[in-house]
Order: sequence, then structure tokens, then C-alpha cells
Amino acid sequence: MRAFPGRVAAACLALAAGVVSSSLAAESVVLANGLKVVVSRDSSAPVVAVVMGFNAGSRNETRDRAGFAHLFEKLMFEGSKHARKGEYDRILESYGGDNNAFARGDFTLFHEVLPAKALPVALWLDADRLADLDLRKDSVRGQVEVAMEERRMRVDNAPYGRLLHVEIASHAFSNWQNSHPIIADEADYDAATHKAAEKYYSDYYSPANAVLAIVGDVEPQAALDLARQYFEWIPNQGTVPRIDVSEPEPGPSRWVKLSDSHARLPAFAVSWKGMPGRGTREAAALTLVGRALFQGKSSRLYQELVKASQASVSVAGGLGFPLVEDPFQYNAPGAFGGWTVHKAGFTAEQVKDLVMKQVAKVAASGLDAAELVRLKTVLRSEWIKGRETCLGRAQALVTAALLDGDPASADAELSRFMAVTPADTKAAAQRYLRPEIALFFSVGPGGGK
Amino acid sequence: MRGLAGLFLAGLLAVLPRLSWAQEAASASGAGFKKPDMSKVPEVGFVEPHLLPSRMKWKLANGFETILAEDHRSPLVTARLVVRSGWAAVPSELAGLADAMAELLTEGSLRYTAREIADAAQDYGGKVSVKAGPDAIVIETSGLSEHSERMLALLAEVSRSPTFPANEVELRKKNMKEELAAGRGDGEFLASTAFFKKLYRSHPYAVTAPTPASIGRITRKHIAAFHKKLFTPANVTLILAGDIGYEDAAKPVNAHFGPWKGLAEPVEAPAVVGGHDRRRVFLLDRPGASQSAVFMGSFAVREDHPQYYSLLAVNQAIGGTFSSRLMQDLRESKGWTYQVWSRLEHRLTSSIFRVRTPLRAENTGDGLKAIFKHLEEVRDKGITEMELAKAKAFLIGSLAIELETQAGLADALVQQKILRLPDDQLDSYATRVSAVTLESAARAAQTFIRPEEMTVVVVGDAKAIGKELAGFSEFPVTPVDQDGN
Repeated sequence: MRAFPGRVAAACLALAAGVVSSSLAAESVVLANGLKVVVSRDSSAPVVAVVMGFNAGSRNETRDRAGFAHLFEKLMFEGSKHARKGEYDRILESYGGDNNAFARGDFTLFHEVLPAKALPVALWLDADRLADLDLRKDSVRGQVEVAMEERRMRVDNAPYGRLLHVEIASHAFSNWQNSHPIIADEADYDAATHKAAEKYYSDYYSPANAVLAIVGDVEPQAALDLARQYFEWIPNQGTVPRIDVSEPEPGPSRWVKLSDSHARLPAFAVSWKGMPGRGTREAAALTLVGRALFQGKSSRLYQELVKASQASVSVAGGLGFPLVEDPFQYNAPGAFGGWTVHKAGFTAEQVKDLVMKQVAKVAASGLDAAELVRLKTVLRSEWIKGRETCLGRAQALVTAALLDGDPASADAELSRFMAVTPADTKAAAQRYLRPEIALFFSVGPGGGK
Repeated sequence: MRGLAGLFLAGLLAVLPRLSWAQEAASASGAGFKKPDMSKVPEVGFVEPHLLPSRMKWKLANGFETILAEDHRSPLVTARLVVRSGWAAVPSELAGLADAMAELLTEGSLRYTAREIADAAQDYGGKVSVKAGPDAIVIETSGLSEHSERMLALLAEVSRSPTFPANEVELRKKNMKEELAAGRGDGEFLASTAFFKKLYRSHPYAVTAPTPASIGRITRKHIAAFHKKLFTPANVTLILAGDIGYEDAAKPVNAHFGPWKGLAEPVEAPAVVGGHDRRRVFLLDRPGASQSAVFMGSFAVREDHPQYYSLLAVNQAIGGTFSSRLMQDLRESKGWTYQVWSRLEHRLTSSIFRVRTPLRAENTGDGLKAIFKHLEEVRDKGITEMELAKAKAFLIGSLAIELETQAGLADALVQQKILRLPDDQLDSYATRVSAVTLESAARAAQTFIRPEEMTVVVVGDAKAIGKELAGFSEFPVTPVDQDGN
């Protein structure tokens, strides 16, 4: 993420009477240069959200360009041919617009939310930075500094930062594409040349490697025409070759022992790799199993660790942990796992036994029918909430288009979760959460210096 | 496929359209689209500010108040139960009492165990969380509107009849100590704790975090008594936003909250008397820290003060947005920090202007110097015409964005309630922001941007940064401990 703004970012406008269904019914087209465009209308407020997404996540990086997905998430705001450095924010803010960007393992998303009338302004800004980003050496160096500060803040200086952002993935995965962190080391950036940045931009920030979604109070045909006007002249730089992200079979169970000088309390984490593909019934089942185990006060591990044994103070995890929180952004080869901050009076081994006892229970009997109904109700409620805003809907369309190749899959995803049965959860836990292939982490506290 | 007939309009069709990428006959229709003039920003007509959804407000005979903002676009309902009085009503020797009580509301009631409360919330697709703040305790939840009655029943259960089981109280106290220990590993938490201690001194607002000793002193009796004192129908407001009409709300509200008895014992934070006339710098030593957490601020004014909106525009230009002076200089030009924000923060009887940033250890002195330079410049010269125009558009536009979700609207109404702002504060926001002039902004800057009176707290490596900090105050840098003393 670029940074945390002072205000809560959401989208569109509140009011109006019309009920917007959760369906993302949309119009889509591929431009001559390969750019995919999706438009969905919501006239309940005079606002529009524009999301531009790229097949450019940290998993797609090559070793000589480690950290570039995250770096470009920032560089795209550093000025382009006609909107010079500082202009992007200044111009958008002058329309009351909001913007941000996120780099993830599988993609990088950029968004603007602004008054519907100002749609051409967002398209102009996005087209200009897609066509002619200004990659001067000083701005690249400047954003490397910002990226390093973000790394210090989130990873090096935050308790458990290394565990969550670096260590789990680096031990869970064997393929470098999956195991290296989104925020690279300073040495990686220092080693990268300016030429490499220019090459990354032309390789990955090509219209054919992108999806553009426009959701809001716009007439769809007019919005499509505007998108074509602003984007179709940009030359196609081709698509990026698919990089092999496959993982070998998980190895035998082992422990990784870490220490963390910022942590005051010990922590334990568990991780499994080799999770099923996105969109499969098994992945849906594991999402619900993850929630049953790790999320909220009803969860089995909260009840076991925080309440019954009183070993822990917090529990979190699920399918995708620790890299992907949103079940609708999950993509294989994924991991499954969780972590808990526990009291010094308990050893990591003791905590592990408590965790694995609950995992074994799910593998033996699956989730209870009533528990599964509750978890589905919560998931449905969250899914609707995620689509409450134009921005949420535009992001869902772009994510579906990038990960599934089809924005319409955004409409189908909920039904897969609703179809999960207790038997599915049992089968998935049995197959994927075997103790003999689990990876365990213990973090010794350094006292919080 | 062109033309309206082929379009699926969101909201009109329940059927899922089967989309696949239409391969646009680019050569045919593409001919009409030549490259636009990229050299200038597209022209856009006047953008009108927005109206908020109307609200209904009613009171039951026992004084229980409900505010309802209907918005039927998503089949969800968002609820906030606002209880006036919070941290400031707790004596400092029992610091943490409000937070303990807030957490324990969902840990057992007359009808339910803790686990059953969590399950009951999942039954309507949500969870219940309770937050304690300086002036209020707020119970938050949301869920599917088809189950809104269950939501209201659970809200009544946890607010009216918590039982504070002894084992849960003991567990909460233990975990509070652990959470505090974990929090003390975080420079931002330490900086915030010390900042409010030093800024508010002996006022109840000074205490924002417990200590192991204060947690130790809290008993079940304190918690139950604190609940009894605050949770009376006339001291509580229910805010509902979303897919629920008056009829569907009024019946369950009446059934669940109507029989509630008890007299309000208002406990208000006293006025904050006396400011700081000199800048003082406090340092919490964190040996080896690669970043210095900085938290600095001075007193400002509330949203109902005539100069508030002018000051708000000034704050935008200083550090309220990405294109603000602080962010552009310290992050974008210098790379000394990942983020630096300034903002106005409010209490019932006090407001502050504050700046927060994590600075690279080796640039801590540079960063502070730059922040003070920008504050002094704005204080002396005001802001520019372009900054003012941008601030106005941004404030009006972003309020609209913020209020777009049910939670955003509900939270804005919560703030209005806690700070006792006028009912039309959100509706008149755009008008008041529009009325700010360059002159009024300059006057507000001169009056309220006071770098020379700021309380500055830095959490960082004393060996590395101690000397540099000495130059920022006429007084010696004062060391503080992790409780901010």
C-alpha cells in the first residue's frame, strides 16, 4: 500500500433509494492493444471508481528485479509525461478524489474514486502513466528509499514483522517466485540497475497485461468510448511470459526457531503448503476450515488457546495466511496456516500440541453443521459488504479478470462457498492439513528493544 | 453488442450475465477514436456537493434515543450503541477499567455464555466489538438486514445484562497485562501514551493506557459498578444505518430497550485548563531502534468553533493529504519517512493539532527541523490559493466518499453524538468548507499552528539522536518511561 491516509477510504456516495444487487453485471471489451476494459453501472450516487490492475505481483518478478512489483506500485505516482511529479495527487485532490495502490503476490492494483463527472480526469492520468511514466534516476532512487522505510516500519521495526512478512513464506515455499517477500532487501534494490526498471516497466506495464474497471454513475457505452479514446492509442508491449510458480511436494514436518528483538511475548505459527487451486471446492472448504479454526471469538483455536488453556493472547490465520487475507483474492500455490502470540509460561511445543489437537479434530469429523451455517452467513455478509462501494465492486471485477481471466467469475465466487458441506471440510482437512507435513515456527521474544 | 439493449444494468438483473471478453472490432469502430490531446487535464464541469441521507430520531419514555439513517442499497444493517463517558470517567489508579468493562460486555450475560454471544452474532453475519475511548464506549456491529431483529436483541442483551463472570474478569486482567507488554514493543504505542501524558498532565485525558499496577487494582466490583453508572437508557444512543425502515427498527427497539430502567448519572470530562507556553521535548530511549517514532502537537479547536473549518483547510495543506507540504518534502523529496500526517483530533472538552511520523533514526533531527520549518512558514504566511482550492475540493469530495458506506455514515453520526455537535453538522459541512477564504485560513494558521508551544515526544535510540534533539527546546530533553512519566 502507498501509505495509510488519515481518513477511511471507501467509495461512491451514500443516499438514494435504488437497491443495488450484489451482482456485478458488467459490460466488457478488449481494446485493440490488448487492454481489457470492464464497465459496471451504479447510478445510486454521482461517483465513479476506476481500478487499473496488472499481472505484476511479486510472484511474477525475476530475481534481478526482486521487489519491483512493490517499487512500481509507488513509482506509478511519481509523474508521467504530461502529469509531472506531484501533479497526480494534486489534480485528483482538486476533484476531491481518493486514490491508492496495492502490490500483492499475484497482481498490483491502482485505484481512483472521484465525482462521476470527472471520469475523464482519472482516465487521462491513468493513460498517461501507462503510456509515458517518467522513470528518471532520482525518482527511482527516491522511491527505493520510501520502500526501504516501509520495510523498516512494517518488517524490521515491528514486533513479529519478520515472521509474518518474510520468514513464513521463505520457509514454507521452495520456489523463489513464491518464497521471496513483496518488500525486497535494500541489497536487492541496490543491485538493480536503472535499465532493469525501464525494462520492467515496458514488460509489465503494457496494455495487454492490464485490466481496467470503471464502476459508478456512468453510462456504460459512454464510459467504454472514453476508455477507448484514452487508452487505445497506447502501443501494445505484449504480455509477460508465464513464470513457473509451481511448488514441489511439501517436505517432512520441521521446526523453524526464530527470535525477534522487538517482541515482548513469544509467538507460535504453523504453515502448510500445497493448497488446492483457486475456485475449487476444496479451496472453498479450506477457507471455511480456516475461519472455523482461527477467526473470531467463536473459532476453535480462540476457544482452545485464549479461553480454555489460557495459553495465548491472540489467534489469527486461515487459507492464504500470511500473504492473502481476502478469500476472494486467494490463488494457488497457496499456503494455509495461522499464528498466535502466547504467554511466556507456555512452551512453543505445548502451544503446538493445542493447535494440532484442534486441527486433528476437524480432520477427524469435519466442521459441525451449525458451525458451518454460521460461517457461511458471516462470509455472505462480508461478501456483500465488500461490494457496498463502487471501489469494492471495481476491485472484485479486476481481481476476477486477472486471476480467473473473466470478470464474471466475481459473481460466481460466493456460490462455491455456500455449496460446501461438512463432508467437504473433513476431506479437505484430512488431505491438506496433515501433521507430518506441517511447518512449525517459534519466535523467542527479545524483550522489545 | 453495442447499444443499451445489450447492457446489464447493475441492480436490475438478478440473473448473472455470462461475460466473456468481447473482442472489439478495433479497426472498425476504433477509427472514431483518435489519440486525445494528452497535454492538458480534461475539462470537467462544475461538480455539485452532495446531500446526506435524511435521519430520523426518536426517544423512548425512559430516555433511550435512536437515530436511523435509511439506505437500502445493500441488504445490510450497521449499528452503533453509543454510551457517553469513557476513559475520562475513570480515576487514574484504575486506568484500563473502561477497556476491561468494554471487552467484558461480550464475555457473558444473563442468557448467554461468551461463546454463545459470539455465535449469536455470527447468526446474523457479524460480530460484536466494543471500543472504549476518551469520552464514550461504543458497541459496534453489522450484519444481514434479513436478521436485523436478532442483531438488536443481541445488542440489548450485551448492553443491558452483562454478568461479568469472575473467571472472565480474571482472564481479561491477565490478558490485558500481556497485551500491554506486547504494545510496549511498539514505538508508536509508546509515543502516543507519553504524548497524551505530557500534553494533558493532570487532566483525565492524560491517561490513554493502563499500567500493570492499575490493571492489578481493577476488580469485578469496579467493573459492575462502572457499568451500572454508565449504562442507563438516557445515557445511551442507538445509531442504525442501512437497509431497515422505521417500522422494522421501532418495534424491536421498543421491545428490547423499552423496559430498561435506570437514571442517567452523567460523568463528563472537566474542561481542559491551561496550555503550554513553550516547546518541550521528551525522549523515550529505545536502544538500537532504526526508526524514531515522533508524536507532536498542541491545542486547537472543536468542530463547532467559528475558525474550525479554516484551520481544517490549513491542516490539509500542512499534512492532511498525499500532496501536502510534509508528505511531499519528508517522504517524496527526502525519503526520510514512509509517512507523515497531520490532523485535528477531538475530545469532548479539548482539541489538538498533531503530527505523527516514524523517521529514519539518522534523519530524526533533519525531519524535526523540516516539520518545524513548514509549520512556521504556514503560521507566518498562511497557505496558497491553490492549496486552499485543493483543500476545499478534497474535504467536500472525501466526506462524500467517507459517508458512502453504512459504517462510514454510522461512525460520523457517532462522532457527532460523542462530541455533542449540532445535528446539521454533516449537512452544513460542504457550505462551511466552501466559505473558507485565504484570509480566514491565514488567521486560523496564525492563531492555532503553534510550533513554539508543541509537546514533542520521540521514541528512539537516545545514543544516536539525543544530541540532535537538544536543539529543539530551550529546556533540556526530558527522558520519559514507558508509562509516559
